[in-house]
Formats: sequence, C-alpha cells, structure tokens
Amino acid sequence: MLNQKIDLNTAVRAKSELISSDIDGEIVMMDIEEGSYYGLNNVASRIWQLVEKEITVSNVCDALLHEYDVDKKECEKEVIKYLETLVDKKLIDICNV
Amino acid sequence: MVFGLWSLVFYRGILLNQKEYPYRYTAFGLNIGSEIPIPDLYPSENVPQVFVDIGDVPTNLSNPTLKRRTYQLSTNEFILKVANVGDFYVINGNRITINPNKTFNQNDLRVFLLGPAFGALLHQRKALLLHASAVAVNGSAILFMGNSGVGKSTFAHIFNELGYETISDDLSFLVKNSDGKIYIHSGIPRLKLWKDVMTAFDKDIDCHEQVMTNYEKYHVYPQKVMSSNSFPVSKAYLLEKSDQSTSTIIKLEGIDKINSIIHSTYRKHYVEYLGIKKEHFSLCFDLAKQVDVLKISRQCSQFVKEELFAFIRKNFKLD
Repeated sequence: MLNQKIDLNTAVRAKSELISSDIDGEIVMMDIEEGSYYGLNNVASRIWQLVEKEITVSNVCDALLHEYDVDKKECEKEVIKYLETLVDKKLIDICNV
Repeated sequence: MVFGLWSLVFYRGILLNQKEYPYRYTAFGLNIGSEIPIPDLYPSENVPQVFVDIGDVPTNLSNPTLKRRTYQLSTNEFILKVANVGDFYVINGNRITINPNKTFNQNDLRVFLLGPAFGALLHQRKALLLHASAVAVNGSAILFMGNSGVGKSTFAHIFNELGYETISDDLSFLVKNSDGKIYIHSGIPRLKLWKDVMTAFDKDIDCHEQVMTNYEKYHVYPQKVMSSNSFPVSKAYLLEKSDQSTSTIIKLEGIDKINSIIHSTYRKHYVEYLGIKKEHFSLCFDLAKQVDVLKISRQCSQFVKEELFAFIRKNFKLD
C-alpha cells in the first residue's frame, strides 16, 4: 500500500468518527468502523490532541519542539513519518488546501 | 346508545386480552410479561413492556446482516434454532417468541431463553451487555467477567455466603444514567453452580433443579429479595485460568483495561452486525473511565472452598 506523502505545509485533521479517551493516563483511541483500537504513548497522545482540530504539520512540530527536548530536523522527520502512518490507517485526513 | 358503547368496550376488551401474559417479572430494568413461567426472575405486578410468548418463528430473516446455520441477525431481529429445544425469534428489543420442539424440556428452554434470547433482546435495546456475574457490596456493584467455566458464578456464590446479594448471573446489563455514571440493573438473581461447588457447600443436588440435560450445573435461588433495582458499578474483575499454583491479581490499565471490557461483551461478535458499534464502544470507554479492572489468575482444576474464601477475604475489602 502506497503511503500518502506529507510535507511541512500539509494540513491534517483527526477523523471525527473516532472515539478517544484518557484511561489511566493513557489515551486510547478507537476506530469503530475497523473495530481496532490503539493505546498512544506520551508523544503520540500529544500529537493526537494537536490534530483533533485541523493543523499543519509545521505547527505540530512547533508545539512539540516547545514541549520536548528534541532536534528540529529529527522532530520533523519523525512527525511526518508518524502522521503518514495515521493517514495510512485512515485515522486522520489530509485537508485540501 | 348506552348498549352500543358497552359493545365497543367489551369488543376492545376481548382484543386486548387475546394474549394473556400471566407470568410477570422485573429484570434488567424491564417489566416482562410471559406466557411461560420463568422462575429464575423476580416476580412483579407491573404492566409488561417486554413480552415472551409461544408462537410461530420465521424460518429466515428477510435482510440478515449475519447468517449462520443456527442463528441469524439483523439490526432489530434475531433468530436462533436450537436442536431438540426450539426456535427463538427476538424482535425490537421487546419481544421473544418461542416455537418449542415437540420433545422440548422446560429447563432446556429456559437456558436458551435466559441466555442467547434475552442476550439478543438486551443488545437490541442498545446499552452495554457484558458476559459477567455481578454482586452488590455496600450499595454498588462488583462485576466478575471471564470466559464460560472460569468461576464467575462461583465467585458470586461465595459473596452470597458472605452476606452479599447477587445482582445478576451471567448477563450484566449496564446503562448510562442521566448523571453520566454507568449503572447495572438487577437481572437474573439465581446462580448456576457446578456439581462440585454444590457438594462443597453441602447443597443436595437431588433437591435442586438441574440447569439442562447432560449438563452438571444446578440452579441456586437467592435467600432474600433484591433490595434495590440498579447499582452504580464500582469495580470489575477479569477471571482467568492459570496453570500456576499461586494466584495473582494485577490491575489492568489503559488499553489492557479497555480490551478486557470489550472482550467481555456478551456474544461480542454480534455487536458489529447489530449496528450498535458506536454506542457500544462508547459505553465500554465510559465504564473503563469509571472503574478499576483487576485480573485474577487462578488455578481452576479443583474447587477448594476454604482456599477461595481465604483468597476473597484477603483480596477484597469487605466489612
């Protein structure tokens, strides 16, 4: 399956039909259609919070750089990779500009 | 003029009484009227809103979402065919029609009525139905979830012996109240216990109803009447068989916790075909946020009464 390519200017947004909840400090997210659910670790949870409203990849990185001690290029690379996985799993949409 | 009016009232009266539902019960927050006795449930005087009757059952659903050899589902209908017992048709969360086989046994019929038939009916009412037994401790409910045969009813019985009431055996029907909390309605107060448990508690199996032909479980009825109708759920235990000699209890968190609840859904594979996924999973999440879930792993090869009492006294905070 081909990944959809994302760059810093791409805007993404979590699909509205997903349920997510904080359970014992872990964000658990469920894709009802697929019947699959995911436990998100700290960083993944924070990213999920950020993409609940439409947001550009660059703004996601800015927020994370503020909160975590991480190299900018490394952060951008990892965030893009992670968001591409989320698109692939149909958990987030790419918003048309 | 007066004579005419009386005719109308009399005729209407005949229509309404065409089917009598002489056996009335309250269970799962529902007033049930039945054409057959269901002694497992609490009797009631209330006007029924849910009906159990004897009648014809369609051979097939017109638009099933799931079709198997012995059962079929759609979003509001369910057909189950049980060899040597009968066919069951459950519709709109408010009616179960049974077409018994010529050689049916009353007890066998009740097992399937209070298992998959009521299970389907409760699922059709779109709340959260777990395969769990529940007891009332200090005004709130403790659930025992787990696979068949793992000990849910046995645990409930130990709690009975310690003075706590059974809220429901096997079917735990959970709803979200206007206060946003998850409550369980009192359901089936009688327990089904294995022969070895009966013997350990000095219960004479000859004086108890056997649950089903060729199945060594027995019906045990509560000593006293349930004190209340619904209870907030405070805790859930997932019971599991282990081959280790020592028992363990661990707290499940995050995704493991939600997993245990989702997998404890009664007939969980029905959920997808009933069209209730969103409501159902939403309630699973609500329950996960409200209660702790602890997994109890125990060896189950032999029932030792004293050992289980000791285990419960040690690990459960009871007065």
